[in-house]
Amino acid sequence: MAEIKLEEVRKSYGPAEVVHGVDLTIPDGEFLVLVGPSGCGKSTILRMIAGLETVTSGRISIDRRIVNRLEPKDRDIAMVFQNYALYPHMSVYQNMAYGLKVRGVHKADIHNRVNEAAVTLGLGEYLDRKPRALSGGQRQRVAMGRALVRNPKAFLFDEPLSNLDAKLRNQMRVELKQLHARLKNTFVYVTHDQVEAMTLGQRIMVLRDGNVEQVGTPDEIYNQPASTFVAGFIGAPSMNILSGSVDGDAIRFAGKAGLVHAGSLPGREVKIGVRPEHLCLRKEGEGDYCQVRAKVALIEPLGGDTVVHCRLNGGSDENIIIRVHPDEKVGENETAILYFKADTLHLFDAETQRRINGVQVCAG
Amino acid sequence: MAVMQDKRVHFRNKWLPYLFIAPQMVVILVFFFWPASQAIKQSVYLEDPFGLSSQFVWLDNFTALFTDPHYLESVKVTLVFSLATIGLSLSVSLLLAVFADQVIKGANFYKTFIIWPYAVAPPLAGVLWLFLFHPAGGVVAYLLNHAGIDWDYFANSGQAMLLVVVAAAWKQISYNFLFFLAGLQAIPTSLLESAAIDGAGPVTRFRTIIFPLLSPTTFFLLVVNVIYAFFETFGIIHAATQGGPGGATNTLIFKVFNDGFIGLDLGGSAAQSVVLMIIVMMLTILQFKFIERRVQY
Repeated sequence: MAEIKLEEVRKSYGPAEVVHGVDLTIPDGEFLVLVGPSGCGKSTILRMIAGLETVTSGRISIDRRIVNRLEPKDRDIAMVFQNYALYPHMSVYQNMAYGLKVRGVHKADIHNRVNEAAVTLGLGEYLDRKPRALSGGQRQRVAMGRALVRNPKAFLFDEPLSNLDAKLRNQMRVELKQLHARLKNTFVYVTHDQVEAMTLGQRIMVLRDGNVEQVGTPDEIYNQPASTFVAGFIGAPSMNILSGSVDGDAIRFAGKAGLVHAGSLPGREVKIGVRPEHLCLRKEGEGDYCQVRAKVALIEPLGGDTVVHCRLNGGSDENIIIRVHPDEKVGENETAILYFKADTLHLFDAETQRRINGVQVCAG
Repeated sequence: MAVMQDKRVHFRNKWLPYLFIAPQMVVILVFFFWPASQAIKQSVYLEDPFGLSSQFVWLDNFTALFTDPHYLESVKVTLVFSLATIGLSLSVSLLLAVFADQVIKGANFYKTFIIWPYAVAPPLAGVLWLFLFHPAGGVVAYLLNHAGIDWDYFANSGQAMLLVVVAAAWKQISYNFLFFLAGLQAIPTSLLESAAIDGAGPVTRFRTIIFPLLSPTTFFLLVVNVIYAFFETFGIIHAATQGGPGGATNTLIFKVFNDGFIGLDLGGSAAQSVVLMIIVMMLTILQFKFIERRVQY
């Protein structure tokens, strides 16, 4: 149980800086997810917390102790690797007992803790097997069991579910969440999968090219994305980002459509973000609806709902994706009117790509 | 092994695969089976030194061999020589491989240097060591004598053994090094990182993770090194000590040559080579039977 704190943490490989000053406090018992595309520095940050990479500058502390110069073994953390990193020459029992054995824990104590973890993870009958005789999901459980028995201050996960098939991944995701609920330990979890990030994280840190784009709860990340990058990265299908131009107190976009804004906008150009599920093919009840005309280009029925790819009319040549109920009657190549409420849209500065807050808009 | 079966090639012409392995078979036939069968045949004949007449003597050559104190002495010398050579070359090459594995800058430079001795022919290696250690003219021998060590391996049997062991081990280090390095590089980094987080220091990591995971490599090298020490060290001994002083470095393989081509006892020499062949075959079978099953994981 421990708080993990990063202050101005930077990492360079030779002249190339890959992490550009990260500040983050992970309170005791929090499940924090680091998410971003490959090469964004999320694994590097995790490995710096673990002590597998040196910190170029800045400070990392675990439980109020600065650990920059501590060996991994002295940081009292446990890590689960993407490829499980099980010792192939040892049985499941030996794998789980290894960390306790090298730390000189009493044999009877090891026995109890390993058996307890094995029961928790449903590995009881596999204790004598070698890793090669286990399935992917079982190996993943052994890797978790190895972390569990140590009862460390914090758990670090480096894309632990990436090597599993889709069904098993969903199952393990639920198990992980239950595990955290039971242990109430600090979890730091790296993934590139936004579904894992949204479902597991109590807070999410979105990274891009070694910079922090946003830190917040899943709700904040989804409903108030701090940049067009976060808006596009979280949510599937991605948020539609349309170009708009500011004309007095009006914003013109998608050809003729317009919005009226109250407040000051930083420039002449803005980006308007609207999630596919906030677009619909008809007005539902009263509300401040905007409307755009678009031609349906492609329909993807997903069963539960249908994703419709459209091309906006009015010469802007922008694509827009909407998510509708499967019962909606819409055909390819038809022209449709798309409605969305003005209060569901997001405004971004076209130059900095950052969110614009405090500007009221309504349909105009 | 399922993958292996999928990769099996099917030939349309059933003679084609035999044609492909024919060159290898011809080489084995001419350079192994034929001489081996000659040796077996000769080992039961008594031949005059000029090869003009020969007489079938059943197993007399073998009986003579096992009652010959020189032969039994040579067995002892071979055991000492082989164990020392194998132990030295395996441990030094493992150490070098572990170091080289951690080098980042100039790794290729080190590797090339360590691999070099393998390109030197055994007799040349023997001559090289002779030049360095010859009591009368060797550079190192001169320095040793200056340092107060009475270096004369022509008279001191311990020194003679030491010299051939070091020379033979040196020759084999490159080969072992290559395999150990490849074995080390095949161990996933995440395993060692995981062990480091689990609390294992460098020594514990080596003992509990690296060494066990290297064991298939070590086993393979053990087999190869046994064969090397028994057979391929002839050149070094011939060049450096000629089996002396007083038979102190007279290993079985050198004795085969010495008795056959110097002593002209062709039957006895053939019997010795048959025995040697059997010993190495048995050693290899033993190794596979008892050690191999422990090194698989």
